[in-house]
Amino acid sequence: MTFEFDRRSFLKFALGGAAGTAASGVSLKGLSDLNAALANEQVRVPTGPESWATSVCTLCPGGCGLRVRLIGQRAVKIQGNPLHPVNRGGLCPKGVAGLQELYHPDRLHKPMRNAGSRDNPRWKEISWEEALGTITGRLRGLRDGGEARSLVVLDRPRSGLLPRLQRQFLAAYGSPNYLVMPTGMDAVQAALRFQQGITEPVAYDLANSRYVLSFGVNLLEGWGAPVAVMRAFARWRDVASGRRTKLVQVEPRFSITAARADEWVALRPGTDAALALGIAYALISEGLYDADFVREHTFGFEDWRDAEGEFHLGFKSLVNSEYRLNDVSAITGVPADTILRLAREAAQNRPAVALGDRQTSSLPGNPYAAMAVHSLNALLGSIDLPGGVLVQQALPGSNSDSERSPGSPPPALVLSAGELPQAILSRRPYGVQALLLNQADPVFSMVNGDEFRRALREVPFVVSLTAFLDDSSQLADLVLPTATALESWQDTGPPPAVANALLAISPPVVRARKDVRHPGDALLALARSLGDKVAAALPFANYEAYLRRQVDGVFAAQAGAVFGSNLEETWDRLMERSGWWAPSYSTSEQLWEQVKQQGGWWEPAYSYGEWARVFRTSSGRFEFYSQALAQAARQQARAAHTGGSAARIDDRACLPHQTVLPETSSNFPLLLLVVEQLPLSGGQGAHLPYLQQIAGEHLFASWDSWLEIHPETAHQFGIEDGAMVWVESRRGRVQARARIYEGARPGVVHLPLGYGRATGSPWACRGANPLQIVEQQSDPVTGMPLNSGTHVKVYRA
Amino acid sequence: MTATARPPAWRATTLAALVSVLVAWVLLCPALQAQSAAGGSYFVPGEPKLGMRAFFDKGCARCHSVLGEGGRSAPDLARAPAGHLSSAELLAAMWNHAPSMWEKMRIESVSPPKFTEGDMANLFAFLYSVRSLDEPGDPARGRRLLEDKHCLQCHRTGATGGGSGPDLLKWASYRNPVSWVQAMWNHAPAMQSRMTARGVQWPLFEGNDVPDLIAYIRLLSPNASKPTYLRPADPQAGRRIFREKGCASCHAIGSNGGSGAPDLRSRTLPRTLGQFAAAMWNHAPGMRASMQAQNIPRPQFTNKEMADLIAYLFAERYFEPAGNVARGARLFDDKGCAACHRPGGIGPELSHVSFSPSRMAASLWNHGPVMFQSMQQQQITWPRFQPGEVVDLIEFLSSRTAPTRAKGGRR
Repeated sequence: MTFEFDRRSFLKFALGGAAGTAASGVSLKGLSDLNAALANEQVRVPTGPESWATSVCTLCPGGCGLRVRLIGQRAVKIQGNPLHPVNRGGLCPKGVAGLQELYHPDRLHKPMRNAGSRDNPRWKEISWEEALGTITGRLRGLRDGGEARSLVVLDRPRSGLLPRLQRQFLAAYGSPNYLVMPTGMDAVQAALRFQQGITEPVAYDLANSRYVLSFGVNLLEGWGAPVAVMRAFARWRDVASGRRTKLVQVEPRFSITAARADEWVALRPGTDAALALGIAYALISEGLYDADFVREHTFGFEDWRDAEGEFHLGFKSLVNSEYRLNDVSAITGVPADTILRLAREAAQNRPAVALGDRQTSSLPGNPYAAMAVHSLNALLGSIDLPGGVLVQQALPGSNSDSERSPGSPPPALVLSAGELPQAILSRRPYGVQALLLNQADPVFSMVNGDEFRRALREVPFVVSLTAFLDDSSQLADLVLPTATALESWQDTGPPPAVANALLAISPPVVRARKDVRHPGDALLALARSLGDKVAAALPFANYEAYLRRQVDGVFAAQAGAVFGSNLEETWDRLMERSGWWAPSYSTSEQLWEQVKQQGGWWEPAYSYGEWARVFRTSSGRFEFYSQALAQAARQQARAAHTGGSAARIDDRACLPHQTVLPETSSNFPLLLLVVEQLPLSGGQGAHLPYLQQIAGEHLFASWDSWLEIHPETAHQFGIEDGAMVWVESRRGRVQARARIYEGARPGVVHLPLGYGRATGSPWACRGANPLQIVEQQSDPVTGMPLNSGTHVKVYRA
Repeated sequence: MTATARPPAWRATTLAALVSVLVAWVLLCPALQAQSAAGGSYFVPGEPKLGMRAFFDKGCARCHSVLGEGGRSAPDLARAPAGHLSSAELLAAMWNHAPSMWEKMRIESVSPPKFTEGDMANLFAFLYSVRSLDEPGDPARGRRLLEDKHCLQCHRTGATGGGSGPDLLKWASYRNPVSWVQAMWNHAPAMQSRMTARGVQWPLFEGNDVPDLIAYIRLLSPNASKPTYLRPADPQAGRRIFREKGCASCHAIGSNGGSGAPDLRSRTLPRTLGQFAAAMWNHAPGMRASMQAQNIPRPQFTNKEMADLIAYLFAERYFEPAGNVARGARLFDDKGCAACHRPGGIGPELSHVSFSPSRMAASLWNHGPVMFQSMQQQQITWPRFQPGEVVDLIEFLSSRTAPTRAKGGRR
């Protein structure tokens, strides 16, 4: 049985939930309202034959496979697809909430044009033809005026083929500006870029790890592909199979992951790099590191001299001189003997892997800390080997040429989404005339959301593709409503942290309930409408046809297998590892049909130890001393010393190190760290009541923002449990309900991510967005927003 | 026909279609399987995929693994025991270790699984198949081999090595040792001439040498992640190739074929397909000389032909030579079977049962624990068998059954 809200009852439900929260501070009232709503006449009992269909979840980057039960034309239940290799029948609460996404009363019905102003939008529903015609006219005008490069697409993080389609579109149109919102993996990706020279997504062979040292990675709270991680977690505890993996969680807060870990190491916030380097010191000084791996596959471990004979500091000298156990203990607050024990355990329980550092989707962490953590993987010989850090396999049939502009492409506007507002506002290196937001809400989701708000006002033409109105689409000229996962063709690739090449494809499960389209269909229609090179580059009637063509590329690779059972996975892997390939299909058409039926295709075997693929640095090795960073530093130095000789670069800038932490202030004596919960991971999902209900289960604090505060700190500042408080930084203040939590460190408070939208579904507009008060600190090298914490004060509201 | 020359009873069902077995099922795609079943041209004593299911579902994988997949507390059955294992050898290994397995299960409060004969046939098919697969190579060892075997005196790998032979990175994407050996075989005469001229010894490959070399060369290529696999092999086609390429002029398979070269059903031949292919390479100079002496043209193979040929030879090796009824009868007495399995004995009479290795293995699991317990109570030692003894015993037991037994079932 399923249900459908109408707007009136939905709002009533929302108000009831809010009233309940305000009155009691406990979330169960909201649930009782939900139950009351379900009991009303709006509950519709569907009729018709029962059937099951295959789909994929798009509510987080995990991209789990779904099996959807239908009664007639209504989807009534979602469960995991047992054939999908990522989740193998499992599903997290987000996947289950997919039905609420489908039948949500606040979804957009039709394309809308802003008939008012950016500050006071007045939305008028229009047809798709009119909307696409408007966009076509603007883009033609830009292209004809030689301003094609001024079109920017800002996408949400996603796998699958839609990013490729967008890059192909832009390449044919003449713009290099495809940007993606930050992800929690960005700092780790930066470390891999600097130390391994690769840009492909990082992956971890967690299922085969024997020792997992997690530096604040919220492994069990939505990180990576949540269900895949939980499956690995279950495997770690499968003692019957003769193995037991130890999970050590290093973070200041007693998170759900810390609670379920074998050991929680509570360090001072922001000192992850120092701890990692302290462990590195112990590994080196005790001779516990993998000397063969270091000798064969790394660069910059020992001191070295470059071609000019100039001396450079090596990693070993750095940790020996600056990260001795007592020094690190003083920085991190972790006892020296604990650091030593962690090093010994990691060395004795290989394969061991180190993850981190701490990251959330909006605040990706610190690249130098990530380099320090990743250096442990090199010392433990855990790179591209079973149980270690891997590099995601590319999907066969990728043709990167088609994703680049022909000839000499114009220079990219910026390197990362975080830099976009500055570029827009400064019009440097050139202006942005048109911005396409593809299910991206930077005003809400990025730490520099205010800057984005100002920047969007400056862009002459903004289009937002979204299923719900949000803080960014509110500033758009056109809003194009997107279909939910069950209403359109869907595809996903390998999720974050999963190594195997994978392509999940599923047809629509139900007819679209509104006049909505998949972004791929909208983009292809726009390509046809634009004509010329763009139409020629993308000659597909719809997104289904586009997907069909990509499957030809997969077929041509003559490898991999259609999704199958666990046993078939094992079989296929055994065969491929031995050099045999026995596919279940003999034509591309057969592959396409099987993919639709089973859920997708993947490469079940990962080839470990492909050094030429995973080490693409100038040395062809893992670089403790990043020569890429050295080159960037030299370029910066040259730019700063025009005409003269460049200043000598500091070797520490090329080596992992502990960065200086923000100074405390008597006015703002507490440190705020933003935290992520699985239901609202990625800052998404607050519009779904199912997820609101379970967001703060550890404190029974749902439906609204809460502030986690240690009892001593609460006492010190006169804060009682359940009191409404202001949390104020130099940047501003937000309100939340204080929850006394012994899992918070004294002097450190936590606000959850995902609450406090200004626009959209009433559910999503509850609570406060902590990013509004987080101080923006960028890494000087990458421009990446750092996750170092913000100093705040807390007082009763 | 004498008793020893007669095909063993459990083989009677298979001799009607000589070629056919397990390797086919490792390597044949489902479409071909369907065709086989429909056309009836293949006889299958077991299906490896179903055998793998039994391996996991029956709990074998709780302790044992195959090529690293499964438990770790008992030997990896793809590697242990070492060497080639026919169906009878599989049975003997299982029989001999059964008491220790049951004891371990008793300690862990796990009930011994029950098997149908079909389950066991599938399991045997799976184990035989998986044991024929080559393990992924060790690149570090491959690197040493490349130097030790002097490959780089002629060949190069990118910028390293000699210039007279082709760059080995050309084949870096080829993942199957059979593909490599096929290319090497075809070029063996030319290589031999050059090596002789340079005074380089003909390199011999053993064990996992070829996969190790492949693993190392693969790592040198930036395009290594785009693999080229071998497609399913066809033992039927392999039999044809064996005949048409003149292999049978020298080699025999059992009693059929020439006598100037080793019998290709020999137990001493290697365990895996890749090792088998490597053995062909090792003997290439000798074979070439022998063929020249007999004026037999030296055959060339395509990738697929080489795979088909080796699949055929592996299919042949699944079966043991015929057993001996008289020896089997003696064993039945000497091993103490007759003490219980006799008219009026505490064990069932076996004269009405037609045996095959898979049926006997199924009986072992279904009745063995009780039998073992009973023997322990009577202080009778659990008998152990050599593979040849198992064949003799089966031959003896089956000789006592009604002639209609041969029609029963395909396994």
